[in-house]
Amino acid sequence: MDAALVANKRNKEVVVRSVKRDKLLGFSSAVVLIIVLVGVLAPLIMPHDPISVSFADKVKPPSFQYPFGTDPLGRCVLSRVIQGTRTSLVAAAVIVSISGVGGVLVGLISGYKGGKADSLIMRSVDVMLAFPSIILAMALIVSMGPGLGSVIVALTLVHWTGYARLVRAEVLTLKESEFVEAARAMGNSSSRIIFKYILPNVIAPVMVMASLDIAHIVLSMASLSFLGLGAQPPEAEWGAMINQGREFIRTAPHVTLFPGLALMVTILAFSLLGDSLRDYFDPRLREGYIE
Amino acid sequence: MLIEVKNLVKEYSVGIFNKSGVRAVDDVNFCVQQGETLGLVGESGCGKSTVARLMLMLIKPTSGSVRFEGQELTGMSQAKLAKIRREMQIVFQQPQQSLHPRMKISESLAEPLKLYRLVKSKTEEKNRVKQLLDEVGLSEEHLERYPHELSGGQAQRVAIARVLALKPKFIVADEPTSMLDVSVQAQILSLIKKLQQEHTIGLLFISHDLEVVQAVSDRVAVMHQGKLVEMGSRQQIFRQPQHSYTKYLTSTILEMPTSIMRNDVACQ
Amino acid sequence: MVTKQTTSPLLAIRGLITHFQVKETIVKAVDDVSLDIYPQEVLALVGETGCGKSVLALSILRLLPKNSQIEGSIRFNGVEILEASEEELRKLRGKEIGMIPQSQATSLNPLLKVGWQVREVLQLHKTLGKFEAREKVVKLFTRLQLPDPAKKMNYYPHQLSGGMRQRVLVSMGVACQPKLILVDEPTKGLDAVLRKEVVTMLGEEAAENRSSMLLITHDFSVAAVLADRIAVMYAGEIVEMGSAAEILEKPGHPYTQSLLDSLPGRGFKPIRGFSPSLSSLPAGCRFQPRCRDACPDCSALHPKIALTGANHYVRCFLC
Repeated sequence: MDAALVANKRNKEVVVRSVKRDKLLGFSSAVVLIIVLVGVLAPLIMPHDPISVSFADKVKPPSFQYPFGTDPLGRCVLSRVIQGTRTSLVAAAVIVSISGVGGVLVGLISGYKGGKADSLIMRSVDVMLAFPSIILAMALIVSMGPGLGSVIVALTLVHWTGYARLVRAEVLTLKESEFVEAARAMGNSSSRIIFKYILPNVIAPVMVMASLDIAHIVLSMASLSFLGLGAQPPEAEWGAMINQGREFIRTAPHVTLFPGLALMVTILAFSLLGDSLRDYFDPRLREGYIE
Repeated sequence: MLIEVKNLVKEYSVGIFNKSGVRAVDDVNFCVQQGETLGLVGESGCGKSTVARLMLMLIKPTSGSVRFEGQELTGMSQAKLAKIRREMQIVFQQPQQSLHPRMKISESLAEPLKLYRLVKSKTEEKNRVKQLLDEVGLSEEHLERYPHELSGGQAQRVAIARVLALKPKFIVADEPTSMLDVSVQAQILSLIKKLQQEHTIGLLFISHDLEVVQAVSDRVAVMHQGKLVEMGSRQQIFRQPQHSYTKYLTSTILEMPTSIMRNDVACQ
Repeated sequence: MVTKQTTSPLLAIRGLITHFQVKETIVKAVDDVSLDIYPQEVLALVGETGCGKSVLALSILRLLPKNSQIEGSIRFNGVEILEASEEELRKLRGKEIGMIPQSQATSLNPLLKVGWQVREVLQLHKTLGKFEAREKVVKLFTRLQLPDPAKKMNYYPHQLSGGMRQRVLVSMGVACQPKLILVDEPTKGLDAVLRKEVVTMLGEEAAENRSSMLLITHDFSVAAVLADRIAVMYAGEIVEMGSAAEILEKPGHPYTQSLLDSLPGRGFKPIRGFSPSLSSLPAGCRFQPRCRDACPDCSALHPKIALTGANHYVRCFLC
């Protein structure tokens, strides 16, 4: 043990990965927070009435009075984008919470009980997933008549299946785990095991899915409104606004540009939030080293 | 007679088209007396853990009977079973995984107390939890931690405390130390033995480690491919094994060589 | 054993320090470790979970995560591993230094046939044709007593039993007849029957290839069967090192003594307290809070490892 010590210093870099991830999470949640605030405070921050028509001011470029310009009916585009935020968020929140809660419950019961009920539920989920979701939603809307209400009902009916599948898969592994077996051995009832032992452990992946789902729903809703199946005039909705500005895209691009940008930022923010939440909840990425 | 198992069979069907039964547990008979330790040894996959789960009715036996204090458990209603479960408990192999990952230790320990209404007030609950923690050699600083913040040995102590909260008469220890280090293994096993004596608990100790079984058991049962091949006192099994499988199993114990043998090997 | 130590060591580790930066804290996984492994010698590194023994093995192969920091010297056969380029390291790994990983259940690629996986190791380091390599794999499998070796080559890992998978892993580790084999916890989680099989097989392989072996284990009885010398590790440090017979018969360090006493066949007496976390080590001797013979000096000063007999080193004030 008398040999001279050779000192080497290397690999001094520390993991930047976790720092990067935390930054992304912080950034995306900040943007989401701003979007939500805009939606909540919409009536207070809109400079003009989003539905009052003024033919004298139609298709005006951005100016001090109308920062985003006006649309073919002379309505303030900024006010309509702000109102559209509220519309999109409220609809997305309703859809995600109903389909999320419903899907989670179905998944919990299906996964925990197993047997015939499980086969029946999962086969019907498979059938629903076999259709392209937007086509299925369109068919449902057409049968109910176009409008935002129909869009909400249709998208809710289409979206719960994803949660049910996700939760069922998680439950199948969780119910074999030792802590659930221990809970059974202790004498807990099935419902107590489902809600106290299994549910808290599926919340994280559901949150991730919900966040990504909001982005998806906002886009689906805009697409349906663009096609004339969703929001009806004079309601302010991004997809509908883009559709109205379509004819003027060469002469007055601002009419489509701003709702398009709002759509893009919202989708991006929720997608990033979902991705960074996934990393955040993943314990394998949380710890820095292995032994 | 605390618990008695008679002609216990568990069959699993394999294959989709030609369904054939595989007997994981095949006609097993034994009993455990009050305050006694029965060691159950065998290779991994021999069906010893299945026996434990069958005894606690965590899985349903294909046929056979399990009697706890004279009451037949097979075919008993879930409501009735829930009451009896209090008296028969299990300690698992993977200590960290047998605790709810999102419950603090204090919550995990309060669970059984609440479930069976063993405490009347919050303060009584707190006191009982602290007392349990003390009994298994942990301190109050561990109360606010989550399972992943504990070492394997500490988590196993919590699991034992949780079982102890119910004051059971019978405990199955399913490989309780096979994931732990030797020094921790000694700690946990001496804890289990101490608590067993204090509370006169009947213990079914399942392990593949013959030396550990030899150290803790009063009687030993040897299992091979779902069948019980030999049962007897510890001395009988380890000194005069009768069945050829028992002889084979005891021959796999790694003896610590003496220093003289060691040198012989080194010289060659 | 004495004759062995007159030759120069195959692996010489001096003052090795491997630290990890995890968030704000520094985890001292390996702290100032020095040891030698001589040609054809089996050194067992015995220690409990979290003592840093696996990190030591990974340091030798320089297979550490990015947040690690290594200092000191690791000389293998005259090459300084800590200064070697990626290219040189790749040539060492698998060829000169073989590694037999811990878990037989997860260390094989489930989508590839086992014969292919072993052949790849051979073809990576040796200029062997496909046919020759296949021949070699059959020979290896035969030697490792895999029944029906030519047929077993076309099996996928899940078609083999745990014991057979262990044999496949061993065959990968020794395929290129490495000078040094690193074996990480070969018996963890195995039942008694399989443990005996694995220990016998490892002993035969080391002899067959005339390889040295660094055997990492928490199981003294495995070390007793296989090792020429034993090093005992506690909280990142080597606390005792000497010939296997001396360590097992006349352990000098209180930790070694207590660890042996906690074996079911040797008293079954538990050590009080818990192993310290590598990020918050006690002052003075690291074992002192749990030691049965601690004296006031122990909590104040950190003992150096010192020679107490012929090639027997102990890190203790022995008060």
